[in-house]
Amino acid sequence: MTLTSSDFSATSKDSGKVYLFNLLKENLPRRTQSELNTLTDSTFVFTTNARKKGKVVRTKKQFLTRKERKKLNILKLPKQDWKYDELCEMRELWKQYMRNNLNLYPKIPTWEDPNWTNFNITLAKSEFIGAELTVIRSKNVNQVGMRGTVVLETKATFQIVTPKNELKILVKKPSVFTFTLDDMKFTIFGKYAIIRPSERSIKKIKTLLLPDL
Amino acid sequence: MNQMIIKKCVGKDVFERMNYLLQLSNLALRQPGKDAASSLYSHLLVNVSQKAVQRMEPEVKRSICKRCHTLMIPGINSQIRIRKKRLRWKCNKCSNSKLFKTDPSHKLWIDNKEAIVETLRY
Amino acid sequence: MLSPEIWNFKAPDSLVKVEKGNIVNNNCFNTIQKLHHNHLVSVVLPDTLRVPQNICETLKNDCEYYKISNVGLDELVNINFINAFVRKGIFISLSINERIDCDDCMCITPNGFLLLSLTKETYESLGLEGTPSHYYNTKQRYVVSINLLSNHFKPGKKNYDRTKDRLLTLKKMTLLINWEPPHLDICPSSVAKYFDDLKFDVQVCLPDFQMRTNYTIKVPNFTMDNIHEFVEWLGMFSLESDLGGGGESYLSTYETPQPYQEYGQVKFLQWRGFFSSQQINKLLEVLISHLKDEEKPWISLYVQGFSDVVVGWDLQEHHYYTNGDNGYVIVLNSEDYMVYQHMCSKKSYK
Repeated sequence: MTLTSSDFSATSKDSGKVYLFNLLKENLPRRTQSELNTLTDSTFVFTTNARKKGKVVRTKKQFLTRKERKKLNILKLPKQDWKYDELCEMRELWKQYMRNNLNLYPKIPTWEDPNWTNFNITLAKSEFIGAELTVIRSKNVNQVGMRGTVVLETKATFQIVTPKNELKILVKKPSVFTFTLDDMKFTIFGKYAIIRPSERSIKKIKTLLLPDL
Repeated sequence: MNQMIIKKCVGKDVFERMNYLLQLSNLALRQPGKDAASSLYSHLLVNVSQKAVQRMEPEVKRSICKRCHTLMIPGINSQIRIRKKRLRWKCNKCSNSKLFKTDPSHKLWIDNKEAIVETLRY
Repeated sequence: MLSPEIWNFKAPDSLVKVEKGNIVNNNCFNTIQKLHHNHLVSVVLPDTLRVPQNICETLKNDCEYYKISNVGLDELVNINFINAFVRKGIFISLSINERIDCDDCMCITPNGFLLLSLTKETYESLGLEGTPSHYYNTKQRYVVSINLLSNHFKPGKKNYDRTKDRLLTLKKMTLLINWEPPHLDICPSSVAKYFDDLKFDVQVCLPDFQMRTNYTIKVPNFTMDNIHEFVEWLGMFSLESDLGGGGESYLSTYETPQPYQEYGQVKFLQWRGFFSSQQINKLLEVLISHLKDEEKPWISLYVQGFSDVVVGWDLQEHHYYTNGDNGYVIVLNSEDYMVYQHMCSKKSYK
């Protein structure tokens, strides 16, 4: 296909030709680019701009091991210096996130709606950091009644900060948690949520679950 | 009454979660003494994106250190230097460096107009 | 396939405890002290024409008990309440309309312990420490005990605050309350006034008293040998059953054991209410003095406790299956006494 100089003008109506022109401009060596407007030859060699493949050097794997992360103090959360009031911003942010996520308007889904399972699945996939959980039932009798903002979630625990500025670690398996959003109350049975938070987004949770400890 | 039909977007909830985690990580950095929390949140962000196979924008991806997964903010927990015509980000936590080219005509694929197929607004 | 044997069950073990002794030692009062919540008291007086007033009055005066509806249990943990009523005098309390094997029950013993018997779900929601019940191998029932008279149980202490907070989450119950004041000057109705001031619905209940006379009754002699038959006769008499005996050989009938005597009049007195062990004590003293004054052959006293109470004998856990051992019989003659108890086995059934 021959490209005449009139085709290279920007006001060309043929968008395909404009696309081709842009493509040529980017991928050709520099010297040819400046001569594009005057070129009549339509064979172009693209390979001169490509870099030669050098020797494949195995780069050292960049990921940190658990020991190294422990050294850097990014494995665990600090136990002191938590302020419950400062986490208020986090809680507001979480509420906005949940409202966007759960599609609560035009109507709050009830168990009769067809998208009830989808609603539950979205809830299970959502993030709990920043929520205000309360333990209502637990086999650990001393943990019943604890309330606080979640700061970390691991496979088997929730770590919360209570209003008294303490960091508490709540075990998921023997407990039942609740949280409220606007005027809805959600209950989570910890027994069925013993999954790493990153995997919770993709793993399917069973549909037949017993509401008992 | 607004009748918004919510368009279907594959993996919307994962994106929302990742976005929220990024905001959390930023928020945690602003408070004193919470850099462990911040790095845990951005580590979780990277894990979620790996498990759900959702890609991130290069801007976001480049601001997370590749080694220790902390959110790098220049001046607070990272250094940026330009040496020998190369841009270098250095993470303060794990002393890991990332080099970038400084070619002004280098364009990312995502910055092309042709790369954007559909924009969904929520 | 062989069908399983569903008829050849052994009856659960039971034990009959008989204690004999001399009245002089005053040991007969020991058994009375062990059963705290008493419901029914019945007395059999043989050969009596006229029952003296003081016997009838003992369990009538100053034996009022109060029924308070819809009380939250945090009211009983209030420090003012504990200081005024539990520390002074004798305070006992029970929850009624709650079944011991299905629902949550509570009781307060005279030594100041608040005891709760809870189902698994209530215990897990409540959040106070307790022990699993002895009678279930699978942990279905838990017993929580709170020491109200402890020195550490004060407002401001973590234990007290947490107990009070958590008890607010329990459902409200209907209680029976009986309080004996430490001095005679203080009226027992002050406890009713306390709850009335807190706007609870308080009902005064008086013990229900019945008296029955039976004429020309064959009464067996009370000797230390034929105790079982004597107690059986007592039971048959109390239930107004047919003591005639003899006659047809097809039906089984009851025959009064020999040797027996015929008395002109035998009186039967019965009180139903909520009595503390102190009040029963007083009644026994009156009966002993009556026995000595009037020279009767013997006197018997039967006391029965509640079926839905958390603790039975000697502050041990009570259960649906141990409902038979909730009472005792005391028979006295001028020198000796006999205490007859039928104890159920404490076996835990799976």
